[in-house]
Amino acid sequence: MALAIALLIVVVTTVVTVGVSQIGVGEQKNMANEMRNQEASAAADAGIARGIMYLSKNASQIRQSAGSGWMNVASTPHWTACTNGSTALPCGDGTANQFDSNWTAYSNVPNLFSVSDPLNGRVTVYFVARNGTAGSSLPGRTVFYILARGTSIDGSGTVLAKQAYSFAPFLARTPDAPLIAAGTIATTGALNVVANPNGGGSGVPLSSWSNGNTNLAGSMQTCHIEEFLSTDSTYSYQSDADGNTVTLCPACACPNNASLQLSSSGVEGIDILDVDSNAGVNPDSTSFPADVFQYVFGIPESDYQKVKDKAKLISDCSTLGPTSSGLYWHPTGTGNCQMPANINIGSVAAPVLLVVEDTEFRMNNNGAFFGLIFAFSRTATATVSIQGGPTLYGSLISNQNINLGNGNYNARYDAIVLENLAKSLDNGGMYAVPGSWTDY
Amino acid sequence: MTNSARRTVFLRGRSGLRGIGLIDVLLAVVVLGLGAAGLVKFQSVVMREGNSAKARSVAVQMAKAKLDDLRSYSQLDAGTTGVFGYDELGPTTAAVNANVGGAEKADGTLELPTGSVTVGAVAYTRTWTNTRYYLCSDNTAATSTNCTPAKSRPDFYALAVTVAWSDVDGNRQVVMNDTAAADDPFTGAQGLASAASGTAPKVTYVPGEAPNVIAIDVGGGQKKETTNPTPTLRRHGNTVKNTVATYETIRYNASTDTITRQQFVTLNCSCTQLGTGTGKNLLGEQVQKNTGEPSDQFQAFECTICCRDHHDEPTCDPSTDTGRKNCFDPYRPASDYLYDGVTGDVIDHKHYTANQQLANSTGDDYVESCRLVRSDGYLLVAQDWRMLAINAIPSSFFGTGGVANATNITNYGTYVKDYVAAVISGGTAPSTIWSTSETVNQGATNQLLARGIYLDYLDDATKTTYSGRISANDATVWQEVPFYEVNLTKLAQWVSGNNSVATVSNDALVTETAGQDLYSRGLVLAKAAGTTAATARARVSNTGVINEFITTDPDDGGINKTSSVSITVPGASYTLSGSISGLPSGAVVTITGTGSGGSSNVLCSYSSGAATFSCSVPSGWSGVITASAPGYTFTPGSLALSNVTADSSSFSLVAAAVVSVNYTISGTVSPTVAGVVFTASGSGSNSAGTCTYTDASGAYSCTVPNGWSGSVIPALSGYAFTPGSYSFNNVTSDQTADFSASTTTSNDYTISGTIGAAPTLSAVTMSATGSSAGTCTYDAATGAYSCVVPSGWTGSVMPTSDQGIIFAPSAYNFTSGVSGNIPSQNFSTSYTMYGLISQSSGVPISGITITAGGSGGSANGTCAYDGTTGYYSCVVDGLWYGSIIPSLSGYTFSPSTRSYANVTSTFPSENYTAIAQTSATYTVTITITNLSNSGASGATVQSVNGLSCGNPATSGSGNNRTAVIACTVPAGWNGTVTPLVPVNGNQTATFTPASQSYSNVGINHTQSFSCSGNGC
Repeated sequence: MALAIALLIVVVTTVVTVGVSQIGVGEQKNMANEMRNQEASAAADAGIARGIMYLSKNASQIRQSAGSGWMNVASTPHWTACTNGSTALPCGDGTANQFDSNWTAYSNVPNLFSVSDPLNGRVTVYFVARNGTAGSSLPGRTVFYILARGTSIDGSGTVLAKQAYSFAPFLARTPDAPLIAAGTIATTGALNVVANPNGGGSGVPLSSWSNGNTNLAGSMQTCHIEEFLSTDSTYSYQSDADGNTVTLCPACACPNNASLQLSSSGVEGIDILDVDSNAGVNPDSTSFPADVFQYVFGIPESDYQKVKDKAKLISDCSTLGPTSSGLYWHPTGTGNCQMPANINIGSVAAPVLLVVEDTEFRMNNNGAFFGLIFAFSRTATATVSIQGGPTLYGSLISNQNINLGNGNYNARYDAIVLENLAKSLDNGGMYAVPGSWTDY
Repeated sequence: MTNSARRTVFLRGRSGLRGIGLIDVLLAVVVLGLGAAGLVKFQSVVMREGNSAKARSVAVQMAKAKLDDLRSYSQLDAGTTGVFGYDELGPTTAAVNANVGGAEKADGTLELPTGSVTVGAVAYTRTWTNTRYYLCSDNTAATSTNCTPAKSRPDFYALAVTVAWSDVDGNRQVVMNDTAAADDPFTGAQGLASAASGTAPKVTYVPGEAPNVIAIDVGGGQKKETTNPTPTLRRHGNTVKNTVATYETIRYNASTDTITRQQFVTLNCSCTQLGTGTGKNLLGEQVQKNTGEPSDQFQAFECTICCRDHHDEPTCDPSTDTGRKNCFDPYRPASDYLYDGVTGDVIDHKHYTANQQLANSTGDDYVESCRLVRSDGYLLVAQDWRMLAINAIPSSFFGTGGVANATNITNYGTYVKDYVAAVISGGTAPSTIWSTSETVNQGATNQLLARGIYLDYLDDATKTTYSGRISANDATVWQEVPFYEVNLTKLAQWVSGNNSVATVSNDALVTETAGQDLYSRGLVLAKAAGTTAATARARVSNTGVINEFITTDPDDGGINKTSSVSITVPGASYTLSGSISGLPSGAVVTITGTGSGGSSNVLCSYSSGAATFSCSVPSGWSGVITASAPGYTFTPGSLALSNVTADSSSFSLVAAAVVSVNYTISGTVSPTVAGVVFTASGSGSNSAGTCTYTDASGAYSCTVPNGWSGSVIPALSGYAFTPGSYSFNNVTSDQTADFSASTTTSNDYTISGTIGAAPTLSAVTMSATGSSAGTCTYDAATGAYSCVVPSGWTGSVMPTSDQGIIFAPSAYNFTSGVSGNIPSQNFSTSYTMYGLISQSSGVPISGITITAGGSGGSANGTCAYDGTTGYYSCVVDGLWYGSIIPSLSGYTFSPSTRSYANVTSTFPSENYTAIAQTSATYTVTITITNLSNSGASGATVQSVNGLSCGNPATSGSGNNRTAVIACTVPAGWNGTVTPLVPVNGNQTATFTPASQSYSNVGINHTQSFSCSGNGC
């Protein structure tokens, strides 16, 4: 009887003990799950962090159809439009649709983790972008989502996270004139300048804006684009992805007729805004920016390294060519920046912003430069030397003086080129859209 | 089993089975012992695993906290003490940095450092590594080796945090991985800032001057004005192909910053129909529609745009209000369009030849006029001009003598807006606010202006919107209403109703540029007594702006707008004269003739010797003649006359002296100062009073006549008085006025004068430099300046200008101390025209003579020319009229002359191109003496390129014959003339001189050669 009672006690005690211990075991399971979740979550975060750098680095590829561009369907991977109702990653989360046909996706971003990396195989990164028109695979320039799926070390925990990024503006301001200098501007060659027709306001043309005297000498004249294009009929055309077309005319010049010009050698018209004791039509400029670097990039000159960090550093400017695009920086101590001979630099669709730091920008050819040249004098003088008959489609800016020597040079302000430059995704830097981080 | 039954069983066993019970108990004890031991062991395992899990959980949290910490950098650059920057994750260039990075305390130590942390009796050790990764080129894998050229920082760090601890089972650890990217937190701030930041250029506008340019207030402190239209005649040879009128409408704010400029180019073209092609519509978009092209290659280049684009297309629907918005001429009648027979859509508007014949088939020539507007640097064909009204207004309404009448200008702006508002709202047009009838004396002139008010087409909805805003007094609506106020004076057609009474100038258009005034329109010249109307006339549409009266469009054809000013020319003048008795010899008498009933005031004179007066009045004059002299009254008080048509010399006035009553103006000076000199100076015709002053008491007294007006003024060197003077008007009783005196340490004196003649210079800097700097002011309105300098000052007063103006004298020098005010130190101005005279090759030529001949009373200017540089300069007086003419024999110049009118500024870059006269030739006459018969008849000149010689003309006899050879050379010829005679065998003939060289021949030459030798 006692035995029975003892057995009963043992059984009851065992049941109670095991029951109590189950609580501890459950707690351990929870802790293990929590740890897997933390591992997966950290992995997803790592995926987003690397994804943003990769997206930023490959900005010039994002809308590129040629070669290894992400719009080339021959490339793996490439942008593919999401479809309404798609539930598969990245357009869906596995069970429900997250991104409809107004979005386009770049799946399974490669190259982010090396074999030796502990995260290798545990993270999948996707890019999803708003497209211009529904069903299009071409990403727009506004919002990019970076999706990352991270898994725990044992593979049993998964976290899916996304964060929206936008490209910061590439230029603080579309330049207001084809020639801008913080010092003086002097011309001696055969220079034709096509004014920015709306530089000083609607219909207020600007060919040069300087904080010193703009001295028009040599055989130079400025005019509007209509008059410029009227002097020759050998045109070619370049378009961008948005359908804007620029008429190229290397043989055009401003007409040799005072009534069709805005300014000419010795005659300062309404398009010359300078500081020279009110000589010429316009009184002196009172609005010239104190910091030209900030005028271009939106950050003070003292922080120039931030821009330089984003730029492609080139010690040999002759490596530039028609497919170059985005921000290039020719640093000090690497000799003159000599343009390659007789080929175009950049294009209407993908212009170039070239910063020439402390050295000379040399263009001695008959090619064209699409974009913005910034002669940046930081510790020494950055100068400009142009010979031959090149055409600049865009703007030439100096934070010191501009001396345009001999040469048969066309400086054509082109709003399409400069707006494409300003909207360029390339190296503009990206920033997280606040409040957009979610996991699901 | 119930409790009672259980109790029964137990008791039964205990009493009946005692041995079994003991064993039973022992077994129970064993079972319980084993069970307890097992449970204890099980429980300890469970507890140990629980502790381990808890420790692992703590470790995961610690690792995660450190990962978050490593991603918490606030900048990319390494931070100062207490600031964590991204670069601190890799302070060494090694591929892997360990245990660095993270948020810092104020002293720079890490908030979460490496090392041991004890939580709940467990010691955890935290370590971590940061591994560099670089993205070197597009579409390539991240690499842990740096790129070429090297990047200053890796694109990201792979982070691995390890938290280790020990328990009874040995060492345990948790490893967690994450990534820190070089994603600049700053970029986020930059991206969120406004992308449109940055400084926009401000272009200061220099407003145009009345009366040519009238600025109209458009609300919000802004003004809008249209520049003076400048006509350009585009020629091919002597044929005017196109008339082009160019002007701009500018809107600017109160700081005269330009807000908008609209450039308009209006012109006529001869075009040829091309049929369907690509052209631009009103919005500048490329569309398929009818097009045209210039009918010949000599048209202005703008005609390419005009001929191509001024064709309507289906979006134009002349039958509806909104459809008309898309037509090039919304006022064109619907019958004047070509319609598609099937769809009924507009194909084009009809086109016509200059002779009003339809020209709508491909290949047809037609005339066209276009209004082009500048848009983004391109010229687009805009809707045709539509003039609401033309107004002929006397120029004097807007100001005279270079001084603008601000009140009238403001009122005129209101008139224009009221007029436009009336058209928009369907109200009544305002009444004119200027004189529409002018009196111009014979031989005199009066400039009239023609001013057009234009309004672009507005559909009904827009009119309603504007109308509502106008009636709500929203002044800024005028910034949006597309109205234009244009000076049409030199573009409209002017006619006089009667050219024998007065003519109105209507010179042919010539090409002018801004600031030039090369032809005259609207200038009334009074010829003979009578009344006529001076009328300005212009078409309402484009052709009205280019003075064209060819009918390009049917609706354009019949619609002229006109406006007239009535011109009255008074007839011959008559003399009204008479005598005045009762006045002493030498009395000063003022005779005034005041016109009434439309008659003007007239000039009168008084001769004190003969005591007679005389007034010259125009025919038909009405008015009153009045005599006045201080201290006298006249009977009759005035002579009233009306409609004078004959001389009259019978007037007689009797003067009577007013009984003189004097009054005293007295008072004191305090504190009492000795030596004050009082004067009572009369104003106008009032005589001076007589003043006395008593040093001891400081009292003064001035005696003045009854009715005296003037000022009482104390003066003493070294003292200032308060007030400086007392003024009285019509004194009819004794007056009291006290002054207080105070010493002045030094007296300031004023050096003053004027600079130049009207119109005055806008910007002159006056300086007074010397023993001390004086304070100078310059009034641009009057041209007067004044410089205040201290007593005893020496130095120079000098004007300077940055506009190239030369002053004469350059300065006034004061070498002995200034001891009083010095007025009338006037400066005259002169201006310089200069520029380059060069051949088309750019090479300057020496020897050019350049003259600046004055016309219309202007003196000749002084010119200088520098043959080495090619630059000339001519200095002329201000307001100079005349022409500058370069000359050099053998050359013509382009332009041959430059004319100037009313020079008020320096003219730079007035360049000329010298063109060698290739056709000009000169004669070099060679005379050879001491010749024989054969020598004379055979004399020649050695052939040289460019030298063309005739046969010799011989004279004389024997061996003393003379041969004269006339040679011609081109202008500018360089070469040598060598005489020759036929020589036989060993004969010789030499000449003295042997030859003669010429360079740059510009005149005829003669040269004699004497022959010697037996070959002569």
